[in-house]
Amino acid sequence: MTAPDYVEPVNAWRVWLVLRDRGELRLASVMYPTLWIPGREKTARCRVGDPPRRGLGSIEYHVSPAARCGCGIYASKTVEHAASYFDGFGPGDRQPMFRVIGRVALWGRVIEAEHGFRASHAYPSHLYVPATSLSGAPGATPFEIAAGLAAYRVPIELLDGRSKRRVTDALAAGSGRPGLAAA
Amino acid sequence: MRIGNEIRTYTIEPLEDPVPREAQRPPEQADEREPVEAPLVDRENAPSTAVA
Repeated sequence: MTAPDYVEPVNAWRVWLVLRDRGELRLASVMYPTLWIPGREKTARCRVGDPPRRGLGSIEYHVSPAARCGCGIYASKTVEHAASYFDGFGPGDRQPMFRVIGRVALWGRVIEAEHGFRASHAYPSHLYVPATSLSGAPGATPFEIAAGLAAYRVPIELLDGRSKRRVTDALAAGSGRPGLAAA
Repeated sequence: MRIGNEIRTYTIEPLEDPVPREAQRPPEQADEREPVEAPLVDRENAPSTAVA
């Protein structure tokens, strides 16, 4: 049995979509149609059965995240880097009601890179709800979004920012770099 | 998401569960219709084996 390198999760930044799923508001990944269920850790699983893309060839089954693959649960070291995900969509077919930004706890197997991380386990640790949807399709007020996300049982704050720049500036001014505690 | 060159890999075993205890639900209350989890990939530089 190998001792862990650290005993506290990394806290990094992510943007989530907010979707309505069977009457409840849920966080969802921006690039994949994946819900983050309240009270349940998100675990990464590499989809080795997917058709090969980009000429990378076949990759055998492996634990996620793997160094030679791009799999894992992604998060950014800075709010500015994460905020690029206020734009764009993945292949999901459900229209998001809102986008929120926040901190995510990462643990398990973690690969650190220059600007972010890939991890095997994750759960939101702090959510920030902008004053507007920022995604061009407002489906609820910020207050409704904050109330609907209470099931995650993490701190939720409303932000004054009505633009991506104002939101990221406000968060960057009050945020530190992600840290680690040695085992 | 482009996170740049990889620096190192480590393992983290939190002393306390990062999932708030009050948010945790017993298995019988779990959402059985949760979609298959898929790790995030770079939106323009997706690897061959996509995950959440």
